[in-house]
Amino acid sequence: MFEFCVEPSQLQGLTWLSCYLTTGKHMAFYTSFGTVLLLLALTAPTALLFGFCGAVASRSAIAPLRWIGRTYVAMVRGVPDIVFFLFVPIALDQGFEYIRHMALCPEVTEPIRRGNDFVVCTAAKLPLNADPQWMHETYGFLLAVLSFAIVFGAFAGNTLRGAFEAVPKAQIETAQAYGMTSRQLFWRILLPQMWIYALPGLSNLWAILTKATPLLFLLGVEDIVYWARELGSMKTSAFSYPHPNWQLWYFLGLLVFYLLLTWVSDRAFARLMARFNLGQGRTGSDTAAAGVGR
Amino acid sequence: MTSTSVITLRQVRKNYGALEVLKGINLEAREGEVISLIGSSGSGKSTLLRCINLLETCHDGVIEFCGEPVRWQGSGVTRQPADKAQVIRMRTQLSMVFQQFNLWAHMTILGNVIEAPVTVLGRDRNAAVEEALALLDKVGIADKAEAYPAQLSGGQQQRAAIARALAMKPKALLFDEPTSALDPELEQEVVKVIQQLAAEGRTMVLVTHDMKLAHDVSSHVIFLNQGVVEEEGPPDAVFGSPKTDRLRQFLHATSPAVAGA
Amino acid sequence: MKSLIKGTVAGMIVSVALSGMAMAQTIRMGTEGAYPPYNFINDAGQVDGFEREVGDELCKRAGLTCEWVTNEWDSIIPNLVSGNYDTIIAGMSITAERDKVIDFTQDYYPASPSFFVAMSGQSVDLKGGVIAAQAATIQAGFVAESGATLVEFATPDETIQAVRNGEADAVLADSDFLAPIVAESNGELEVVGQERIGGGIGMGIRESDGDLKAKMDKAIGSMKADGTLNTMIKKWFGDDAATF
Repeated sequence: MFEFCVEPSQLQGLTWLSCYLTTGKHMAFYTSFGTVLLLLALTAPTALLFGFCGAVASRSAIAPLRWIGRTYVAMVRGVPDIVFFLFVPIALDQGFEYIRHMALCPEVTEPIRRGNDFVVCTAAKLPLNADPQWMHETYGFLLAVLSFAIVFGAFAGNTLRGAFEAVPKAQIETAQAYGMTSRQLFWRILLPQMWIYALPGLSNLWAILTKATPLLFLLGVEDIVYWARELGSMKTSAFSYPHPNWQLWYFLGLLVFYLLLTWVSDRAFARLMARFNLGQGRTGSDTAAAGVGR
Repeated sequence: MTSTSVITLRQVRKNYGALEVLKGINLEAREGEVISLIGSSGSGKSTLLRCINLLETCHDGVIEFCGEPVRWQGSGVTRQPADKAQVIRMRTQLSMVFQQFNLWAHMTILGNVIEAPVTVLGRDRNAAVEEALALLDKVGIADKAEAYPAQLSGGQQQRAAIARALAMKPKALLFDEPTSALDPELEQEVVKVIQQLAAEGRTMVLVTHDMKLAHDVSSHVIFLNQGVVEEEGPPDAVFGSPKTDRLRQFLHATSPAVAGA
Repeated sequence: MKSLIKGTVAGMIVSVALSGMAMAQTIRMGTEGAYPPYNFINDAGQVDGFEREVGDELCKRAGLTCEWVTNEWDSIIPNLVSGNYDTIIAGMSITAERDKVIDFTQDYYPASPSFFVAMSGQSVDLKGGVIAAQAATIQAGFVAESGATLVEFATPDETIQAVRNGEADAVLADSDFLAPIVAESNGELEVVGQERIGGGIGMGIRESDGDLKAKMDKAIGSMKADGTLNTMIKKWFGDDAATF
């Protein structure tokens, strides 16, 4: 990085440190913080969308749609996360490649599954073997986003479903009494009221999602945990900057990062909740404010 | 000259499982009439009201609205309205006021009042706002237009709910125990509004525990007991000289003051 | 001008025709990147080490373009099999058990001993104590058989940590990995025993990929024949290292 870093073995003290902390490897470490934030930024809305579709489907009047919605939510909830994280990307990847294989090389008659091997024709590889490394990494990253979204979408779906159920029946019945169609009722009454019940659950889910980001490494994405472990591990003189095991310091850094992230998220959710509460005029408990005792 | 019939019920029956809660009820509300349904809890009066705007499905009998009968499919407990569009059309002309007000919690009072006219009837928003403000003024809460329901007292909420009902310009108003959830001191502000509406000649069906209100505003009072019309007639007759023992007992138990009048 | 266009068009046709082959020539090399000096991520963030140098030379000789990819040791075989990369070149000893799942080229590094390393000055019961090893390695298999208590770790570095913090009495790993660590430990660590386990180190290749295996076998053969492989072994493992 700096000009004086040419001969690391000659460096001392702060100079050494400044060179050490600006190696290409450290740059990759710093970049990986962005990767994690990007993952969160992409996963959260996608998961919310999946969850929303799942929740709406599971409440649908159309039976097959309802089954799909319920199966999705129940299945993902029932299976341990880690199993899903190991299964989904492989299944997705092989699924995509299988479809491409069928479409792009119909002339290949050999089976795709040969013993242990999963072999598609060269043109069906995703990304192509010849594609640059960044495309492989991006593809892997997007698979990870999709896997996270599927898993967390199911949790979100459950939360949203519960929130839909939590909207008081009287509110819905009133809308019906005033002649609303089920569509109008959904968009005008159910959806706006549902969020207040969903928000605590979603905020919790966000916290879990944040904490789950180290699973990225399991999916082959080099995230902050990977780099902290790699950089912190003892370095012999095979490396330019040998040092003993410094993982403690690197993980301390991650600790601070995650705590900061949680702190910022908590504040954001608190503000969101305050806005919703204001919008719904729920200053105290709803029934108490209405002067109604049931 | 007899005015036209707005709501007609003939031989309306409804079961909850094995329990028959409405055992062949006849009711007619002509234009400008106020029909009060009285009776003890479980007499079926609220269920009857909810059957009128099809929130509940009656399993037998005829419901006509301005001479147009509700079309049904199936029979008995599986009976359902056959025409969704008809149901919606009827509901838009029959505004309901609920015991617990049921204002939409996420909307301001003004939002509550204009919601159905704009969303369901497709009225112009600005015109709807103007009318809504006038209605809120009429029920005495013009200053609460921008407030949320939870910020209002029960009496204010119920008056807002009445403004919401009026905003639909309905052919008839259905009141389901409109004052029962209110503290006595708040009850009067709602009673006044209902009396005013009755005086304006609105067609109303009123389910109530408030015998004084029923006496004051009704053109016709129906006493329901265990799913049948036990006794009915003009308020003076029903409250002044009840013919059946049951009504006498009921009136004595609920409001001795009115029964004595 | 005209001929130039003609030439370009012809070139395009040829390149389109060849593109299928060109794609076939890019091979993704899977390694762990955490096992110096075999393979590691250098300070620039690149895969480095003995296997990087050997691998690049093999690719050159076989006429292949190679991309380097890192993958956790634990899932390195499954991800080869499902096609995420085309070879495993990660200090993987050729064993019968692994051979059931994937194929191996001939060895590019001869069998080398494994070391037991412990904190200096401690008497360690290698047959009955607690021994650390990386999961899914031949060393882990050996410890499990030996009667000692095996503690497994996902990365090689963690096995060393386990010894340093007393979680394990000793670590069993390849001598080539442990030797520099012991040498640079300022006397804290010492070699307390050694074992000969496993054969040489070969490149793992999918069983269905016979073509690639043949090419790599041939390239390894030629590197053995002209001595370049031995030179590289000496460069990375010292003059005393076993050679071909």
